[in-house]
Amino acid sequence: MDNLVALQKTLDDLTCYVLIATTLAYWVHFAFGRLGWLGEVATAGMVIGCLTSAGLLTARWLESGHPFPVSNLYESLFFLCWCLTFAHLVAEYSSRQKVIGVFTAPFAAGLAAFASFYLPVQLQVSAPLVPALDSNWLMLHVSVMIFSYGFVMAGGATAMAYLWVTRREQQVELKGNSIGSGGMRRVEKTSPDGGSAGVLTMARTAPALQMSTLAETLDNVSYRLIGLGFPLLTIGIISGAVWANEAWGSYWSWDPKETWSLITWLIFAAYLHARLTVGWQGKRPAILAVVGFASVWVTYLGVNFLAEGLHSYGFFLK
Amino acid sequence: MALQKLSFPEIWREVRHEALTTLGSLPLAIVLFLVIAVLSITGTVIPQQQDWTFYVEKYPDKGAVVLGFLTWQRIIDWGLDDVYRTWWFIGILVLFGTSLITCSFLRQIPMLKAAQRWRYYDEPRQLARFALYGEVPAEQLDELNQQLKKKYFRIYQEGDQLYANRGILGRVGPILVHVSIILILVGGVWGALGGFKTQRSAVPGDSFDFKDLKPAQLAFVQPPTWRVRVDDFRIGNRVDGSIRQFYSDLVVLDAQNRELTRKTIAVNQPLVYDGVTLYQASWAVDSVLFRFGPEDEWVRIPFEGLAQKINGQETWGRYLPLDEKNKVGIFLAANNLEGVMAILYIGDKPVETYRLRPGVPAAVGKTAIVLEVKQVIGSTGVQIKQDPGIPLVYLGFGLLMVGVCMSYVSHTQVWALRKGDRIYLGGKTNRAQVSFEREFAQILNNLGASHG
Ligand code: HEM
Repeated sequence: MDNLVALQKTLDDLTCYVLIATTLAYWVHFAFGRLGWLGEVATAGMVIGCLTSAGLLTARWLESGHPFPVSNLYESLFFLCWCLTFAHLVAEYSSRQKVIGVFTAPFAAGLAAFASFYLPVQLQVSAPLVPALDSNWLMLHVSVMIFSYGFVMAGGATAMAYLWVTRREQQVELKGNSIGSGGMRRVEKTSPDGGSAGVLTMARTAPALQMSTLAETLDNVSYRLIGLGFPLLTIGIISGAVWANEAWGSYWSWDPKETWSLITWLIFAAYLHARLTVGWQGKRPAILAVVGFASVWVTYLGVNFLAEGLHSYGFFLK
Repeated sequence: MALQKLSFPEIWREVRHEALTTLGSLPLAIVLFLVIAVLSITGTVIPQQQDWTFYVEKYPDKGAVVLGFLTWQRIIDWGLDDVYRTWWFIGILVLFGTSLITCSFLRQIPMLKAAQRWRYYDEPRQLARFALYGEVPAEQLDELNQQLKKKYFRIYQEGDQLYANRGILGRVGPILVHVSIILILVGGVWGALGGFKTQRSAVPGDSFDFKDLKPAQLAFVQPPTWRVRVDDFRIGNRVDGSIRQFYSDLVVLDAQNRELTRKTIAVNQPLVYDGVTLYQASWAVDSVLFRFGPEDEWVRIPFEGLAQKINGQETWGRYLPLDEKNKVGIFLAANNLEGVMAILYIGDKPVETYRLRPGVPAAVGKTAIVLEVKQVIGSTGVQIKQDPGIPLVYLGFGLLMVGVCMSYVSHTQVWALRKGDRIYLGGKTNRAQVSFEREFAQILNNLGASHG
């Protein structure tokens, strides 16, 4: 037992310092021209942060015996930290673009630092569950919600990377959109009237395979991350509603946290539909994704400061 | 178009078409998403459903007016004290539902049909228009077939022409999502009109019924005719003393006092009877059986909720004056069912504190007074709800979860045409652009493409 507690402390510190270093590595890498090895160090840092936070949660899980790793704010912060690093690694791997880390790493580091340095020690220790939280539905709900936050946050961060990469362009034409009619080539040699089409495209000659540009890749990866986070968010909200209905007879009571999760969900729904809308592609959905990103933070942490509802950790029977 | 030549039905058709296209349009949907989001925020910032005096105090109309315009008068007038039940909020939701239904018929179903229609291409230049395009040697057609099969494509081939697709589920998903949201909205309305929700509290031995239930306007509710007796209420503790669970033994009785059913309910374990669900929702210390020494009768002292919490827990209590003149009295307080704290007051000063448990009396100083507690009586708070919309809502929930997951799938199509010594290859996908690009490049490489 004591070994497990000591291990947790070590992993907690390690996660914090590694992620802070990782953030610096990503920033320096992009601020001072690409230093090849530093990018690799940054990615390695992210992998280590992902593993140490997972290790911390596992140790906690073995110690407390709770079925899921989220019974208080401390555990949920580290769980989100793990989800975010994990989603980042998925994004970085599938896009082969490190620039995403410039935006994901500071938030992952911030989560770990908040849990470790800012939370009072008595809130860090593992505690028994109050009756209302002692339910598998609820644990499923919380875990899925946080998992979805990880993915939509990574998607939002990737949208930031997109906006950063395209900051000098007025308008960006993209070929991949969800309608499928966009599956046509961007650069039609025969259509000089294509306006600003393909600002970012390098001149390539047919029949070369046109791979996506950096901006297009970021746009698409951001979309896929949010596309993955959105079903998780939906399932999370529904499991919460079902649990609330089973536990106290109301699947929706407009409690602030509930409402903010709906707001977040609506913003990402708007994002998904904006991508389908002709004339809305490019920066506008990306801005919506960033707004959604902010909304996730309000839902996750901000609501606790806004108002006191059912959801402040350990409600019901204080 | 010359307007005067249009007959009335034609104008009507025109207007209707215009209205429906607007109603089912994506920009409207996006705007509605965002408007609902913004309106919802107000209800999380302004505390909801408080007494109007609360708003008078927190949102004054003179002096420090919140944001410069948000006075309590405006809050009440605009319904910002109960945002989610105002006519304008519900109106927007109705508009949104209408948009969703219109959109499903006007766009979604045609889109699915369009996605299912496909054709072979017989000109290389038609394929060259696709986002992804490549050429491979002509003898590789069978190998291409194999490669696509390995990647789970469904393949159609006719001579030199080939079409393959994968992930049509991704086209069905959004439709399922939209239908399920309509189901949830309808189920929500159905539940609001056809159900009821109320709270009752009772101490063991008491019973409650639903005779005084007043259904809202428009509702078509049938309140239950049976009643419920509470046989017992207990709190289960952990070894360390923290609360683990609350239990109420409920018995459902008909008008002739016959037992219809019984169950011990707990948080997360309600009793469902006759379409009505009874939940363990709250509890309180109702009263204590108390006396001032072995000669006295046991008296039931009713407790009330105290503004002040003890150890951060909700607490109930009562002050018992002993000597009016000297202002001597005992203050009894409890925040659990195991014991009572008795505080001896002289004047406004607490002098002495005693912890009383059943069977553990406490003598007050050198007097003959002995404080004794026989039992702390808890009352259980039961939430009772009937919601006929639940099956529809749950069906919607289920389909929505399946539908959003399906919507992640990317619908991918590949065309190929063998002509001369080349196979021309075109492909597109609606979601996973980046990963399909890689897949496509890999196929081209495997088939010995001469691209790049
Ligand atoms: C709460 C309400 C809604 C939700 C949760 C929702 C959800 C979704 C999702 C998840 C998709 C798939 C997006 C993607 O390709 O990644 C989608 C597609 C779509 N939605 Fe909605 N939607 C809602 C309301 C609406 C409304 C009101 C309209 C009508 C204006 C609409 C029109 C469409 C269209 C046309 C598509 C494209 C379908 C396709 O790709 O086959 N949606 N919706």
